Amino acid sequence: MNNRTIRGLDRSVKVLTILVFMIFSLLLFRLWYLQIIKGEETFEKSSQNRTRPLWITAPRGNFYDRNGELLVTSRISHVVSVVPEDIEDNPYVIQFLSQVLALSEEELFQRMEEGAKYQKDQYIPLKRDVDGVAVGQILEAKLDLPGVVVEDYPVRNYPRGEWGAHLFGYLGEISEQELAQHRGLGYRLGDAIGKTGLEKTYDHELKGEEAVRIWEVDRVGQPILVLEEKKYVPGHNLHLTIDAHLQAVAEQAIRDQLAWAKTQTNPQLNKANAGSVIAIDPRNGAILAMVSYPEYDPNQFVGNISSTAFNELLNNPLNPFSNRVTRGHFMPGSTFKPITVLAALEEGLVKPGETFNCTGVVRVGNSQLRCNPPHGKLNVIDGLKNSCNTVMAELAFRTGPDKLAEHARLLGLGARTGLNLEPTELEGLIGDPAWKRKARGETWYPMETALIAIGQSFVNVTPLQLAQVYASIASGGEVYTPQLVKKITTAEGETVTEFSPQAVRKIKLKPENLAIVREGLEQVVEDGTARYAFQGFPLDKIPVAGKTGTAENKGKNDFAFFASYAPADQPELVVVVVIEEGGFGSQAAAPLARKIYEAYFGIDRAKAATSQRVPDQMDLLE
Amino acid sequence: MWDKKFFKNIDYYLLISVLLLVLMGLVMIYSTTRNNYALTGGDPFALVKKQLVAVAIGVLGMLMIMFSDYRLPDLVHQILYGVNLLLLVLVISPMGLEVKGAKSWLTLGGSFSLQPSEIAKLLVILTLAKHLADKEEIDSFWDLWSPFVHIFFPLVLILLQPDLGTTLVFLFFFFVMLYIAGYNRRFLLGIVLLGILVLVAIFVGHHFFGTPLPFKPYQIQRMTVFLNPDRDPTGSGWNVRQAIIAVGSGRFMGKGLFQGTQGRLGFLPESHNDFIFAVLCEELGFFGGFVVLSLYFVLIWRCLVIMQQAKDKYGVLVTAGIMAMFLFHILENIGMNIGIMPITGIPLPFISSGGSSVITNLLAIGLLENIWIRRQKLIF
Repeated sequence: MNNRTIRGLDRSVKVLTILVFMIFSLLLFRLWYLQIIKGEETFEKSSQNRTRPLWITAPRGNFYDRNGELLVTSRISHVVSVVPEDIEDNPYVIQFLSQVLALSEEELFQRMEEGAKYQKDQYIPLKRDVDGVAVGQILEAKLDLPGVVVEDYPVRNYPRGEWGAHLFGYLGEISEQELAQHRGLGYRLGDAIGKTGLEKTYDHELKGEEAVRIWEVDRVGQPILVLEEKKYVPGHNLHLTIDAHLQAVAEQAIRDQLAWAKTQTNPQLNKANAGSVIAIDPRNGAILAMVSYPEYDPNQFVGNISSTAFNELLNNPLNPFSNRVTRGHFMPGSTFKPITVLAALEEGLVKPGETFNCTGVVRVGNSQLRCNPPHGKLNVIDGLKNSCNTVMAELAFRTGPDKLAEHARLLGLGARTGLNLEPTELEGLIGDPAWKRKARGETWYPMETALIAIGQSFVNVTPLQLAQVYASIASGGEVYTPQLVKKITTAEGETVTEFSPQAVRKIKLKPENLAIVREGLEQVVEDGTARYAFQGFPLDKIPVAGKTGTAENKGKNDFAFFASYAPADQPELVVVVVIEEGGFGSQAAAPLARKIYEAYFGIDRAKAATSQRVPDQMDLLE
Repeated sequence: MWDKKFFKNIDYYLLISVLLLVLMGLVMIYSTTRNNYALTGGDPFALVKKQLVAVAIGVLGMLMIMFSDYRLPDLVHQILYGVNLLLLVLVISPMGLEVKGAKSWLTLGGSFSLQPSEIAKLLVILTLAKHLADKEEIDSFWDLWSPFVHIFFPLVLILLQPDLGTTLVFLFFFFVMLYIAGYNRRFLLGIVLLGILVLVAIFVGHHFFGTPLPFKPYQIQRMTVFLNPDRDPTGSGWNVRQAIIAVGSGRFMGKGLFQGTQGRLGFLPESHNDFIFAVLCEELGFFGGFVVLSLYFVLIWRCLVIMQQAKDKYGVLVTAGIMAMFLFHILENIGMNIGIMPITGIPLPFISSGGSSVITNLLAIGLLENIWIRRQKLIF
């Protein structure tokens, strides 16, 4: 039996005790550091670790016309999403997806890389609008494809194709820039977002709230169960001021008109290839139809547009992406003349009965302005009816360029109309001596006053602005903000927002002056430059007032204009038509406006023509 | 035998802390295995039941050891040493079962299997303590040769499995026992430093002269990855990262019992075994981790007390060996769970799932109690 004969045991035990304390302190301190100091941070990590959120796009809101007719909707398709972290090291999955989705492996990795910048451990949409065959193949191999899901996906559908493209706009995948812009508004990578048109303007209303499904996954990324699920809220519907029927007529009419122009031998006409139509209610600013031609088919952008198709559109010299109604910048030509007349009348510089003598040429210093043919003696009403340059120049000289510009601005030129539609409309331009000094550092030439008077030189308008001017004349000075959306409702039909007409301003115009201008515009159609276009139109029942215009454009053929409203005595509709390189407004633009009035007022042309045929022929005989 | 005094002399601090650790272990084993179909085969309690059987066997053995005298005759020690070597030879023979690249298991028919390296720890502690206690001459350097020879054979056999973790446990308690036995401290320190120097030389040689390494690359990788787990976050760094995430995400009060996700969802492998502490910390937080550390502290503290009060040199050395064994297991297992120690698959005493381990540890407690009860002259 040994005795306790260990030398220095007490000392050894002491050393050992110190060692034990050190070890336990180390462990405790480290535990404190990990759980208390770093705890929150690590907690986040562990939450991401086990969950894979999946966002499911909500069906986008529909577009309806003013009568409730469906214009734009969505159809159900599929989207294939992956978690990059779960599949990037799995060559089988990569190869499989590449084959089934017809994406090269490079494209696949590129898409994942883009996505992973934001959300490596979340489902990233790889391909949208995947066809049923591919979906079937993926679902069959599901067990071998951890980290891959197929979900229902609403795809935007524009049943009318090109029709209304600039109005509706199109959707595209959200860009990094847009993502940064809309931070905090619930957008995420891979989302479709309105790129232009109403889709862009009201994107936030239309997109709805996506569904979220938080999947709990195992280590390889195979979903185990849904931890949380939030159902989607469909996007809000837009009820437009557009009249589907009128829009359809305008769409067809501009195509017919351009097709007809091509068949003509007149070189001033047969190069016509683009144009715009706008129809607006002067009583409230509601836009009933709006066409900018050429258009594009927004359905092309659904899913993934092929780059060749996109480049074709992009490189088209006619620029189908441009909305000519709000961003076409034109010299208005003779359609400006009512402003010249109104300005002179309002300033009291011309008497209603006063007569002018048109010799066919206006001379100022060394320059001259022609008026062809010479009109002889005529008053201001005749001046409008015959679009006489001499009268306009004389009136403008009396008014002076500053006052003339002031009245043009009062009627809405040189400023945005306030239409809420992407891309933002252009401002236009109305020049005066002060502007010229500032912008160009040049002095004003007297002849430039005459040029403004006939809508040339320093005047630029958009068709929408022109419509706004004619709407002001039609309404007697009441100016409304043009409107495209009447009402926003939920998917269930409850009203979210109702847009009442927005009166911008009331222009104080003397009724007698207004009456003179309106009389002049009425005579243009009845007996003036537009009379041929309206031959056979029941003007006795529905008098139309308007002004033709032919504007010179450098390096191009003249642009044809017709700005109008009807019925002349109680206007309900303003129609402005621009046919680029169409030559004479009376020939290229006015017939198109007539078709819209016929559609709006329900006039059967064949019937109307029969009843009118006899006096027509008598007219011609005279 | 059923003396009132006997029960009065039991170290209840030790017993109760061990019982609490075993209980926590059972709960955590349930938590980490109940959803693992591959392990449980559908019965969520399968591994808990298995552990309970082992605990029952262990407690029975512990009681038997408590009631008998630890001072066994020489012959028994020689037999124990022989049995130990036999088991360790058997396990690396074709009879042994290879699991994850290491031959650590002996099947005993049916579903029972034994991990000889677990029980070997206790057997070597006993025989080595006997060997050291019997030695009179310990002052000269050459007096060290016989204890080295004593541990050499079991150590080499375990290294052949290969079981690096258990080898380290052996080395740790070996040196602690020599130290307590009163061997010259300078010699011991010198040997430890020499060992470290040789290791460094091997790596330096490999790095600069391309001399072969006695380790497989994955072993080195596993041993060193804890220093920078982000170096290989999906490979060998995975476990360390996931364990740290599990521990850290528990924060102060934990996610709640059975609410942990790291282990259940398979992010943390071996969560019922090597990494059970991480899951415990995830579910019970710093609070739970603190309780476990405190219980272990009581265990080690009692060992130190028992060591000082033991009746004889043999009792001192057995206690020292057992204490060193527990201490190393605690440091290494908890350390690797919290990312400060290399990953070696050694279990957390009383908590990790594993029959051989829990039985060995309970037998060790029986020995400690035995030594404690007999600290004063108790006549039976």
